[in-house]
Amino acid sequence: MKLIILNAQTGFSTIIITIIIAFTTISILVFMSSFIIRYKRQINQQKEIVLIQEFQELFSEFLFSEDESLSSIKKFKPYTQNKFDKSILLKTLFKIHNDMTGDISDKLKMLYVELELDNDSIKKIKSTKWNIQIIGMRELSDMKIKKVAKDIAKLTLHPNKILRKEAQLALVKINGYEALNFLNTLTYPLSEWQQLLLLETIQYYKGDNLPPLEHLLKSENDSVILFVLKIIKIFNLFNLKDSIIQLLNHENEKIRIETIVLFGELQITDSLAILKRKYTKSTKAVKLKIIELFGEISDENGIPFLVEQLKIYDYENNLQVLRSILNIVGIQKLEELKPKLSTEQQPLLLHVIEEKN
Amino acid sequence: MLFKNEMVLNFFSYGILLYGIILATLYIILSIMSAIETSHYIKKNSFVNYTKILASPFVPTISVIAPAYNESPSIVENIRSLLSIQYVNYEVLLINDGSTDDSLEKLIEAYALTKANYTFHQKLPTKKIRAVYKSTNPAFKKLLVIDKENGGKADSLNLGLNISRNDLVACIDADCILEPDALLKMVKPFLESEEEEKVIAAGGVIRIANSCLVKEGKIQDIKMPKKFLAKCQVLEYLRSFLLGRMAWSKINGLLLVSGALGLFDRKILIAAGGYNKIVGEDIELVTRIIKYMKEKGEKYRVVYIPDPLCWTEVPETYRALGRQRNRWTRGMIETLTIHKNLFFNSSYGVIGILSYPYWLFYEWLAPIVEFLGIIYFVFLIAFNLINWESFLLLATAVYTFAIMFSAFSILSEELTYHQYPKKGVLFKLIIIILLEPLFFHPYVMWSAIKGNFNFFFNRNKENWGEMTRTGFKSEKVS
Repeated sequence: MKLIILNAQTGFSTIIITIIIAFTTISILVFMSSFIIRYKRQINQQKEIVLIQEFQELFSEFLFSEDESLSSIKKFKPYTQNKFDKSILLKTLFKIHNDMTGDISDKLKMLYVELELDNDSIKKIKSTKWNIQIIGMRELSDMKIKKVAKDIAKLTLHPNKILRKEAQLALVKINGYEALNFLNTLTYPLSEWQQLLLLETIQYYKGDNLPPLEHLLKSENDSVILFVLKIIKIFNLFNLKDSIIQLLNHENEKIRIETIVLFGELQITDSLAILKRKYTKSTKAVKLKIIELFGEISDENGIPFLVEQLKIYDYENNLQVLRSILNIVGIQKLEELKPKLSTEQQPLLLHVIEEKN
Repeated sequence: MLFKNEMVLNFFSYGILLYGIILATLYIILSIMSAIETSHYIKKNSFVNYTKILASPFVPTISVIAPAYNESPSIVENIRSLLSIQYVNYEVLLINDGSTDDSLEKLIEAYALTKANYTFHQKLPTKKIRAVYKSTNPAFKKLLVIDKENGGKADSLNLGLNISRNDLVACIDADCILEPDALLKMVKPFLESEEEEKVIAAGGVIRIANSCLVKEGKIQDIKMPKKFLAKCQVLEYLRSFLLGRMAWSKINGLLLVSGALGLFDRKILIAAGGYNKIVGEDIELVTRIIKYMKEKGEKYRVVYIPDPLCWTEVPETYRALGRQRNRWTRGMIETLTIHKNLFFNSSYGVIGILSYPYWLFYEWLAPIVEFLGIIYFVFLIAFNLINWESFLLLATAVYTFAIMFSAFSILSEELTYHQYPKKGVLFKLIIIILLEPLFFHPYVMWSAIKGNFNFFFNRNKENWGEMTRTGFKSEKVS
């Protein structure tokens, strides 16, 4: 009896030998691929260094010599014939473009168009690969090529979520606030990340010619409301005060909280009386924000309301109350409260005083 | 009788063979899934300009909780690394877990710390606090040092959770060096998560810092470790990256966010009861918060980020390595034991049907089956029952499979992050690939067997509940 079941007679040995040969061959091929990839990368890196040096000279000449702009454009032409050279040219062009504004930025856009690189970017947005489409959109939107806005607008409805979001951003870059129209019909949530990216893009326009936002505060899409609240904060849109106050009745706690935070940012003191009335029926998180807001925008008239909250011990609530009182009246007056505080609350007083110092 | 014995032995042989084939198949499937998911991640994130997000006032505030025990040689530098993270809103909560060395004195001196009056709400039970320190230097206003009685890593992390007032907490090992953009990359999935599916935890790739040049709390020069064991662990880490964390993340079945670095939703962590004071507190915690979400009927995601986010030193001696793997094994068994009701429990979805059984059969049982296979092999030799030709063929097949698998992990690294660009590294790695199955893997398997023995026969429990860092010496600080 010879166990270890496999033996030559069953044909298993042949199978195992074949497997060993296959594994070994694959391993050798994979090792070789790793070496080739590494070698190619090194070669490309060296080529890139040389090209970047050449481009630096060409760009200096192009950007800083007024008369010879057109002739210097021609010097870039040979680099558009080869895929690798063109990719480095684009990389360098966008790197400079993203750091520049005004005339230099316009000149770089002219170079981009004259070299017909925009046509390449347009081809990219028509690619079947989503990541290539995004590269194309990025290039065209960074250069604000208006003629592609319609094509990009179609992509805002694309089933691929990543592509759709990039299309929204690209449109905002090209058309400014006008492109925020997509918010009117947006049915899916706008993620916090996308909101950050959109805000970062619209900040570039410095609040000029903002479209009407009031109706968006009544959107059925909560993420749209939260996004608009952020826009209001960035551009200090105090004129929307009445609509903002209405949001205190919104069923979404996050919206109520962000609304209260916005009251602080915009110094809407009218809100304090309303919030006092709503306080008792509010959730714990909202209560904390109301107390924080009193510390930010209330005067001494708010103190009785705050002191009232110290009657019941609640660590987080009481700590915030003491912080708010401190913000309004300062350390000396806050210390006058000491005898009224319970033994549990005394350390909180020391905590907030030290925090202030 | 002879027939019966033959049946039993054949059953054993076929059993081990079948187990091996299923395991190899699973590895291949997970690797393919991981490769696809990693490629998607890289494409998706190649457009992201993280530095733009840095300037946003809307990013959430994060508390970085770093427990430390007797880390005097590197504590000052490591805190400097934490204080120089590229992120706007964050605080560093360093929990000194009753260190018996001069860690605290060094911190007080380096960061101009003074005792502070500080209160917090004790939501999770922890050991007593001795003092809270803040810096008098405004440059270090993000730092809060909490000196407490020794209670172990889990106890320290729970204290950090009590003290933090932010929605997100990053739990990290104080001896880790974070990539400057680590928090930006980790916070992204939380910000991307949409209302119907909440991201509750995110983990990232941990890389090996042995022999790397570290200056002012940052990795200045990435080098391949000099020591054989550390090199093997580089390969092991690359393989585990290829082997499936991305795949598990894709199917939302990830059970482990490394204790070295993880970003969590604080409220959920506290609601689920915080860290359990066991050896494998990291895997147990993730399993528990997932169960918590499932039981509440809320949709969640645990995300894995394939970017290298954090650097840590690994054991360079067999003794330290053995202790580490023994501890990992005990932690894994304890977690599997605590959450045994997950086993093929369809009400827990992917983690019940796939993740838990995978951990049970292939993370826990694999070294045991391997060990039994060796005993069986010795038995066959002793009774002259072995067919040497078949044995050698099978052993070679297993060896070549291991090599092929490692080869793919290296190719994957070359195609993605390419962290070791220096000349000659590839050759060194190939040599390690050839040697590792012979000189590293058997020891790791043996340590896992010892871990099983310690767990079930109640040995080596003296370290439980205490911080058990090995404190291996560093060559990194230059």
